[in-house]
Parts: sequence; structure tokens; C-alpha cells
Amino acid sequence: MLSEGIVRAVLSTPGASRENLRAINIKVGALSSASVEALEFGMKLMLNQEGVEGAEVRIEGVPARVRCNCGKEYEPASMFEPCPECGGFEREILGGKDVTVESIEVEEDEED
Amino acid sequence: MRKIRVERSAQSENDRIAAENRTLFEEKGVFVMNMIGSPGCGKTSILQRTAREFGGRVAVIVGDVKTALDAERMTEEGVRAVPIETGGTCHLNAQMVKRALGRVDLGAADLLFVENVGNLVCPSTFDLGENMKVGVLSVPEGDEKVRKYPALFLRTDVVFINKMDLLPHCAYDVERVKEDLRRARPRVRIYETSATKGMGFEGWFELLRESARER
Repeated sequence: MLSEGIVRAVLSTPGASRENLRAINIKVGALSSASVEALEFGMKLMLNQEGVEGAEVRIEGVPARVRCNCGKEYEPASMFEPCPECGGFEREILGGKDVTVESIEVEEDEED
Repeated sequence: MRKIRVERSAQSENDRIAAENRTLFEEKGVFVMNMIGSPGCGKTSILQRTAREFGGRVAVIVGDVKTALDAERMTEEGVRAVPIETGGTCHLNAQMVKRALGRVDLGAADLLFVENVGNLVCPSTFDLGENMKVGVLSVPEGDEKVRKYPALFLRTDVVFINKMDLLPHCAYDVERVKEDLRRARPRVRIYETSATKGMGFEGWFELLRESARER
């Protein structure tokens, strides 16, 4: 399902097509519940199913990033560990929640 | 080679439909909860108890991979329950819920419960348009579930610890589970219940009365 959403987002990007797509750059947040390995496999299947050949899938993990109520911004190794500054747990999640398609790379048209 | 910035969430299509669902719920004045827990943790039993308390003001959408058995259990309580058979998909998405809404009388309901497919992973990140995510844990599952599935418990506003009547028979550290839940989400509301015995539901019912009133 996740790969389906990604492939749909990619193919609906202006300038991208099944034929000219060469690479997809994806970021997977540590708090997203997605596994990089499973996503790699899902993307392979989905691209195959969509008839996209020769596109490399690059997946990069993104750490969680939070801002504690005390103001401290940090990257928690686990959400069960307290703020290193004040020991609190009340925090806002700034990053690492989503799976995002960052960018794609396409073959230039010959006339370009 | 040309690089094109996309910067779109993999969930962007789902999120768009979830936003449409949310607008519809607001228009109809319905408070919506997305119920998430393992297979067999007691989601349907909790909803049966809830339906007995709130009667005809409750509507239910029930997701299962196969069968409409859980929807039938709700219908026995006199609640209109619409089944979604996902046919293999391990979670509900906003589109499935949108389609099912065609068969729900939202005008007659104050509270809509969407019972997700039994699973602690994928349902946590698919927004359905709900107001609240409700996690359901149960004592026989063991007390490490919160640590093992943090993505869900970072997002739940309410968590049930169900099957509390089985506590004498299980090695389950309730205090540890509550501590983990509060670390993941400090303001979470926790209800310790036994759905089959009807124990521990007062706080939940009070929350539902408040939520229904605010709509």
C-alpha cells in the first residue's frame, strides 16, 4: 500500500513518465512504522507491476527529531527515553514521522 | 539526467481522502474513533459494551480481512454495522472508509467507531479522517506490546488495557505498561477494562458523552 502511494505520487509528477524514470529518492522516518527492507521489496514489485523498468530506488532512513516542552531539540534514540535536558516526556515531534518521496531523476528528452 | 523535487508524503493521496472524510464528519456532527489493536484483543467486545450504553446513537464500520462476523456481532446489539472485507490488506485506508460511508446513516449517529483490521503496525499510520485513535491492548498478549509497536502508541489518544479479569492468570505488569504508554504519549487516557465482565468502562463512557456533546 505504501509503495502503491509512492509510485502513484511519482508517476503523477509533472515531467515523469514510465519510460524516462531513472531513480526515486525516498526518506523513511524512524517513527513511520515502515521498514526500509520491506519498502525496497514492495517498490520492486510495484514498479514491475506498473511497467517501470530501469529506475533505481534509493531509500534513506531519517532519525526522529523532537522538541521538548523545555525547549530542547534533540534526536531521541527511543521515544521511551526522557529528554536529556529536563527528564520530561512532553514533546512535539518535528521529524521522522513520515515516508516521503524527496525527488526523482528522469532521463532528459533529446531535444532538451 | 534531470532531478525533480517531489517532496510528497507517500500518504498524500490517503491524507487527501481522509481530509474529505473529516469534513463530512464535521458537517454531520459525528465524533469518529479509529479502533486499533491485535486480533482477539477485544475491540468488538468493547464496542458491544459501548453500543449497549449508547444505543442507537452509535454507528460502526468494521474492517476484517475476511468475513463479516464482527459486523454481525454488532448487529446483534441492535447497531447498524457496515462490514469492510479488505480481502488481504492488513489495514483500512481512507478510501475504503469513504466507500463504506455510503452505507452509514451519519445523520442518525453521534458516535462512529471504525474498527480497524487486527494489526498493530500498518493501521497506525493511515489516517481515516478520525478525531481520535484508540489503541486496544489485552492482558494475555503480554506487557511488551507498547515497546514493540511504538509507532502506534505515539499516536493513540486513548488506550484500553482489556481482559483485566485474566490478570491473576498472566504475568502482566500493568504499571509497566501504563508507564510506557505515558512515556510515548504523556496525555494518553488509559482505561483498564474487562469487556466481557463489563468492568472499568465509566471513564470511557464519560469521554464519549463529552465528545458527542462537543460536536
